[in-house]
Amino acid sequence: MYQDATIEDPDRDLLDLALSAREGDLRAFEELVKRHQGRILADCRHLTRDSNDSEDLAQEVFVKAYFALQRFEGRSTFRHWLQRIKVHHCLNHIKKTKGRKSVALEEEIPEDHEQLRSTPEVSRQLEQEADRRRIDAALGAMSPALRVALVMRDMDELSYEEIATALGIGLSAAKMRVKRAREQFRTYYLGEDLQDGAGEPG
Amino acid sequence: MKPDDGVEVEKDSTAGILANEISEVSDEFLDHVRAKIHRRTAAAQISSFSWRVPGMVLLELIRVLGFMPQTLRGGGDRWRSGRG
Repeated sequence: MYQDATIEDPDRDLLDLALSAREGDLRAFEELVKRHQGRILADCRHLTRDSNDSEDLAQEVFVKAYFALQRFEGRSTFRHWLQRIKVHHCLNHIKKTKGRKSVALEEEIPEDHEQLRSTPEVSRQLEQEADRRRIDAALGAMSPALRVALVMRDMDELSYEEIATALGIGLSAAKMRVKRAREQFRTYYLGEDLQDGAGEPG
Repeated sequence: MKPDDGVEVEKDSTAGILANEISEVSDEFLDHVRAKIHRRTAAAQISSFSWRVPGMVLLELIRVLGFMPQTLRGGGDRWRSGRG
């Protein structure tokens, strides 16, 4: 049962509405979906590196969350709870599809179209696109084991204990894996700067 | 940023880079979530109903069989009286 939790949860009001809604009334839950869908989808993409299935996986995460909602006890925020559902769902997917090649995430570079001539807004969007591609490329270059650990820690904000439990490794191994993953990610992400002689980040 | 195991997380660390990653979702994303929830709810209701059907059939059968002796007695009487 959802208790009066002491944790500050920005989704608390919507959660209360969703929990007290009649069967079939999804309006409050749909608002929760809209709030978190972008982040959950990004996580699914980066965890599984499977562009074909990532949207399906993200949808299934929300479906699972809906049917588990009555068991949400409020001991963590809704977002954190949702992240845990997503991590387990994606890890199961990775295990099932192990050995199958996943399709590289391809994003079209926005054409230098007339509509995209430089306005500050467009420049910002192009920079964001470029940054997303760099992140994507860096994560794609990493080994799966390190990438998963990195996403779980730095995107999902799971504790080391939760990471260790989910991956079936020891606590020290989880910490070491995250540390190595961060180093590897930095190397790939900042690789251009390093080549330009900008020096090692601090 | 909050300390990470006693180590201050650098401004340009991976946590900062990845923390705000968000993907664009398709316009139909929410529709698909809604459809999947409805399908699963309907499947659960049908499954629950299908479990009850054999029991309902059995109860109905017992009820019908319970009426049969009465029906047969009533039919025999009518036959004997020549009204059958």
